[in-house]
Amino acid sequence: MIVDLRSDTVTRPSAAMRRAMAEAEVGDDVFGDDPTVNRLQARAAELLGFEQALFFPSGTQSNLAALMSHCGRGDEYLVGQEAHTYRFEAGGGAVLGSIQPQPLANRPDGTLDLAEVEAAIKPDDPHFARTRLLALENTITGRAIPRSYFEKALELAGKKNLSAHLDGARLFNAAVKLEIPAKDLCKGFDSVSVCLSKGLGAPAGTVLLGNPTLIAKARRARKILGGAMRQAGLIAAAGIYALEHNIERLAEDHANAERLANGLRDSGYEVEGPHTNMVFVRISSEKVSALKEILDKEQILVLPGARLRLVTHLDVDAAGIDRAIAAFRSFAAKN
Amino acid sequence: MIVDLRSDTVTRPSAAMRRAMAEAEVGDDVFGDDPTVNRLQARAAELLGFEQALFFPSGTQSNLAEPGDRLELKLERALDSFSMRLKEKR
Repeated sequence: MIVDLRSDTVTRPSAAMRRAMAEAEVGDDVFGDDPTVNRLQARAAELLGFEQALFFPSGTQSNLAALMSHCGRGDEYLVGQEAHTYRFEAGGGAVLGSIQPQPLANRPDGTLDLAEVEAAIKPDDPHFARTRLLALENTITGRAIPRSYFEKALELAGKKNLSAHLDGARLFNAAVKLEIPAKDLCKGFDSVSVCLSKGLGAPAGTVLLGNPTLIAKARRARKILGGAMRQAGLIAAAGIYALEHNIERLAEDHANAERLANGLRDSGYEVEGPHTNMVFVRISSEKVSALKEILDKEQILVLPGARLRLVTHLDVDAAGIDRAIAAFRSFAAKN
Repeated sequence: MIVDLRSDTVTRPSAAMRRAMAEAEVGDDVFGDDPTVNRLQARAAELLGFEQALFFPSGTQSNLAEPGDRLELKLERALDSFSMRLKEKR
């Protein structure tokens, strides 16, 4: 039995989720005819307090469509160096949206210094790109950022006439960790992107939330980017199932991350976290490949690196975590 | 019973196709771990006489994919003809 700690994207649909997909009523979503996609969109909008939602095949595309809806050619968005929308989406905003990113350093807690944000807003002058959007993320590298920070960030954005986008790929991890409704974490944002495939366990899919004007622009961007799909209800059914069954249980993933962090600390490792469902371990770079070899033998999958990120999710239980701890411990004993 | 002549994009998966989907073995394709995606790509490439194939969520996206080098251009053409072939078969 493999214990896959590479990412929470590796989860496979359960038998019940597969059944929901196999039985989904479908239509051509490009004509707006897919009742299951429509149901997912309505449900996500209602759950998160927006007028509308739009279903995308991926979070990368949902974020990019949001950037393209808020910003035009020659506009700029302010974003963290560690943000997925800046660092992990192949520069899509610049490549396909002609939008300039203005990255700012994330502080150790994952937030941006709002004084730095304000200082980075460009004056109205033809030398500069037009600063249009503040893009934030929650959770960011696992860290759940409290609502009080966003209140201040959104106040600044409002004062400076910037739109605000939240990459909430792991929004529900943040909501469960902070013990507040996900809807409250979304309040005041002009758009929020929420992944159905990571901790929630659907095979693919993200919803973008916003008002009808934003969603109309995003729908156009989605078509340009090739995200309009036909009988997409088959995937959307998994998203509905995920929203109905897999939110509260994220607390188990967080508990498993804590179990893992404690076990690794007890084995002598330098551990950061847990941050929701993630644990980070410092491994001296010359030991990484030897560790990987031992873990592979024990069928513990990780993405090797000097700052090793381990991610818990619904396909890893406490017994799997204990096996992972044992493998790390045996490596520590020999090295 | 509706007779939908708007487009051949309106077809719904049959019971047998749904069964194949429901029973599909899956993995994380971003890590290259999805055996069914790999099988589709290998089959399409073999069927159409190319070295490789790449699965996209839509034809719009497959067409858009940057034709920066010959291989990618070939991939696009392969997938285009593959989706046409599928439509012909229906």
